[in-house]
Amino acid sequence: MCFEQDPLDVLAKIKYHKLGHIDGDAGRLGLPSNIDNETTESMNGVARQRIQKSNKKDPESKLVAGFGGAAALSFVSSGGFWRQLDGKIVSAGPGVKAMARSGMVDKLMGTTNKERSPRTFFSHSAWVSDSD
Amino acid sequence: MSLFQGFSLAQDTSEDILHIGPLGILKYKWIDTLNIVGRAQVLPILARLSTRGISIRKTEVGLYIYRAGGLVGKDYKLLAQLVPFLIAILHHHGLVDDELARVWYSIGRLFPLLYVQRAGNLSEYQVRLESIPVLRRYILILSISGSRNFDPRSIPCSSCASSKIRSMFSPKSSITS
Repeated sequence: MCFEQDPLDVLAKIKYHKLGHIDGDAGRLGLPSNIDNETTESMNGVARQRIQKSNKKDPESKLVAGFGGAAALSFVSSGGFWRQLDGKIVSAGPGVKAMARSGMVDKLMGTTNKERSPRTFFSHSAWVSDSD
Repeated sequence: MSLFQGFSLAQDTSEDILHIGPLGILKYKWIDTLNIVGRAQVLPILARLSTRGISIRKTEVGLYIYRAGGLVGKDYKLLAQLVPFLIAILHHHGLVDDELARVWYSIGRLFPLLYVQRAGNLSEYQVRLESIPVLRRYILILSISGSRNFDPRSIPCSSCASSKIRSMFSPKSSITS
């Protein structure tokens, strides 16, 4: 029932290795929670779900096209401006913006404007200098 | 003159605490612990622990044990707050050895420091990180191998370093204490 870890694991396994650097990096780059990427990492689930629901034929390009289309739709419907081929700068008309405000786009895209529930740990970052 | 003078790819790359903390050391140690102690033995004790102040549901306790390798970061963060107390109970009854208990107490001290939001004095924060036994052991191993300031693939002589580390960290030595 010995739990002694093989010390060479620390060199071979990159996750253990990076843990040994964490104190030096705190001095160089600040607190580790300031560069936490857990929120963006949850996008993995969305990508995975899209790939699983596809017909498994070239899923990556369809995934990128799908995300691109969603981003374009949210940009246009929220009143964004873009340049046309003839150089004119245009934005969506009042009808499109009214539809976006009515919640229809949210329903189609599966997004929500509700407030998020509080997380287990703090979700914001903060920094105070030594003098504080 | 190099375009990136003064920039070190190994040192200036930021950490990814999700993968080295919850999905790294915590996941591996949790799976190891379950394999050593036995899943059936852990389940009733974990289910009876008080989870006041932590958003863990009693119905999910089985998931933390029988799907130990497939949880998400949120679940491992909950485990980081809960398992040191579980290990304290198991250690009291002699079901786990001192080494395993020491590792889990270290993890219990490490995680609040990883997710700390403010540090009035950064050097003091670094000192507190270095005082954690598991981290001290890792830092020592990296220093001996000469890879503390380099990419792991550019260790000067990996076989020399390996034999040196093996001789210093024999299985029975208690460097972590």
